[in-house]
Amino acid sequence: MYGWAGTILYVDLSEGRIEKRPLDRQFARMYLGGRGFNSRILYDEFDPTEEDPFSPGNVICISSGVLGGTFAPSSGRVTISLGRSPLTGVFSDGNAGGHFGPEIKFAGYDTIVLKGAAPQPVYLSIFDDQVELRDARHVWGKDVWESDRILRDEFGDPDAQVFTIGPAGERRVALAVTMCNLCRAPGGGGNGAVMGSKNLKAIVVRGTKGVKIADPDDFFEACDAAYRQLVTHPIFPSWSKYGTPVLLGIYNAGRGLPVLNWQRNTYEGAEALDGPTFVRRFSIKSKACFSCPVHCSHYYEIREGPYAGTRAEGVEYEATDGFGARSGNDNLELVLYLNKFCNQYGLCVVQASNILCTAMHLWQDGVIDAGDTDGLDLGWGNEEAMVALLRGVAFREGFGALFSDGFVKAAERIAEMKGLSFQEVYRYTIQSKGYTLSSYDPRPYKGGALEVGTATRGADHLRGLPTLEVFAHWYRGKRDEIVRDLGVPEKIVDDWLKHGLLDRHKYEGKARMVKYYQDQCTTSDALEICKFITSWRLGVGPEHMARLVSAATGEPFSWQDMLDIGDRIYTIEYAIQRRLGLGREDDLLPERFFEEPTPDGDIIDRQKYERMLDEYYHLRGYDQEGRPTRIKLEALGIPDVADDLERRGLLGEPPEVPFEMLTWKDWAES
Amino acid sequence: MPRIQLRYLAPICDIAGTYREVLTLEDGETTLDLIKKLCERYGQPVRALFYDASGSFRPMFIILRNARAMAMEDLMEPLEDGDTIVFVPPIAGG
Repeated sequence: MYGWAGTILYVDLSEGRIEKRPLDRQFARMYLGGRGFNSRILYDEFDPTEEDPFSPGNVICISSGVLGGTFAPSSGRVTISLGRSPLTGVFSDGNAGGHFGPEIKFAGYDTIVLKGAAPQPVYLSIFDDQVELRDARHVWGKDVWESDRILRDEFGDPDAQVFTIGPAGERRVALAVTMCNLCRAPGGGGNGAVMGSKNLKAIVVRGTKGVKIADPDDFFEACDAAYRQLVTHPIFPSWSKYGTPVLLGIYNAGRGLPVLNWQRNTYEGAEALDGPTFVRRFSIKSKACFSCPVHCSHYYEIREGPYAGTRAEGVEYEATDGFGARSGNDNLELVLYLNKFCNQYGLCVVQASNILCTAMHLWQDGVIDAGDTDGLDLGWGNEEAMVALLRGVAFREGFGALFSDGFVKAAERIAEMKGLSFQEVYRYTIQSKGYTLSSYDPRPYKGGALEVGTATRGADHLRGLPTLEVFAHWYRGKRDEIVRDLGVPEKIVDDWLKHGLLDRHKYEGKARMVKYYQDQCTTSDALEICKFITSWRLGVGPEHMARLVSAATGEPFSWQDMLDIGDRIYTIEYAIQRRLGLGREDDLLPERFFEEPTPDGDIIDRQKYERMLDEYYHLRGYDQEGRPTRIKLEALGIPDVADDLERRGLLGEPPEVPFEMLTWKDWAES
Repeated sequence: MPRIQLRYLAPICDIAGTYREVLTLEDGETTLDLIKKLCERYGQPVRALFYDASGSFRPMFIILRNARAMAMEDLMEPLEDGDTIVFVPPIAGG
């Protein structure tokens, strides 16, 4: 095969059995790779009646993308997906950059499927066709960085890529992640904990095979066009130099920065935490993921003071806001230390920082006190308490252990301790579907709110935040610039302008923009291309994507095909979550966004949100409970999913009013 | 004469070497006049952020006056003493 490696690796950890199955061409064409392969495989292979995420029956899928291992820009990402997450109790996934994804391709595989549980700690060793499970008892108990070094030495090749859990994963902490390249985390969902429950410490992979390209000349031209799009983009220099930390100052200036657990929207300590401050004070050099010209990450070092000697990679905006402004801390050194701690011990920064700021909010309102916290003073920004609490979460020690199973379970325990209802405690955290929202406040952005509510893994900007809405003001009257800078196909831009969607306060019609961004971001995850270069920001849109994939695989794809693939994957994920018991009520927002306005008066009107959700479901071809319908599933070429949902009584009711859009292809040609 | 509070973000803060400064304008001067003064003070690195190669005004920022985004025509209104101007790069995500 061209583009794809052509093989899926199945590993049964209980039996120690390793099987290589050929990749079906039609399957590959329908789901592309990455998150697309994972979601469809989990639909087929994970039994939704299996309720325990730590049961051997849980399934893990890890995939590179069809462009992984090529020089298509920023195509080196990897997705790890779970049949059932210990954090949310339903399907989840995480996505990371670095170099691990392409190495899977170089070894000859598109996807690794892990089932069962090993009787004792093992790691999966892959060197091209040689695949074996090896004893990992000597690294069990070691942190991520130590494990990486030992396993790489043992493998005998410095270019081997290590994907490993740390102590948090071994202890089945629900916010544990599996790390690659020491500091690259496919965050959220607790994939580290599920790896730990399977006694799988790590995957070490080295490949020497190439990726075959169907039309090298055309592929070279497609890559050249994508690179030109990136490097000539007006914000490329800033993004390249500062990376995501630049967002803190921007959101603060725009009065949209989550501060003190979303109680405020600006922070007086923002300049101390902002990207330029970080780069000037602590960055040693820029760092790129595989095949990425943007190199938005950094190696950093603290050279003096109480955290001297702290060295790691990053830091990202999620940490500078999560451990910074959201937790009332303007000490950037502390942020960098906590970020490094998460990387070294295998915790998700987004979920971990949410635990800290929610606990401090509970303390602020007197819900918990020193009698509950082992004497820790959880006042905003208390350095000692933040370090102790994070360590407690990772190692299940002391007060921190209360949160090691995630905030849903912590809220149940606190409610019981304090004689409160679950909701009285749970409302403090900003989550949906049990998943913490990243550092974004959707109250001023109505499309953003819909995206957060309908994100398939929980409150998550990465599923398809309509970024244009955030800087819509800048693009008013600049139709051609939207097409050029963001790579959104002309017909879609014209549709948005016709519906007046550049108004961030507007609810009506926003589903149109949200669906595009979600489908586009899903296709990015299927290609394992970084969203920062796609329509999300730097403009490598569906037309670029189609050209790259067509040249790489030799299969013809249009931009409409690219979006329909995103829609198909998204719909599969909706079907998965419906099979696991989620419904319309799970597509709502955290209660506080309906009840507490921002200091500027922005709030989400519940009734208008519900109408927006109606509109969204209709546009997606689902019924008003958010269940995919047969007509939609057949249009996407997956009638077997309709049959399965029907058997389970979960198929959506046929629409009373015909759906406006069944596929992007039909819509674009209408 | 109006004293204008300037709040810089990336990349201007690195060019100016500060996150904030105060600039005094003549009475009646506008945001466009202010930008011209910044270009004079900091030269080509700042000029390139507001003007394209042909010299046309094409700012790569959302410009906020007292936390409200300004339309192009607003840039020609006189600024007042105590106004705060922020230049925000159009970047979002996370």
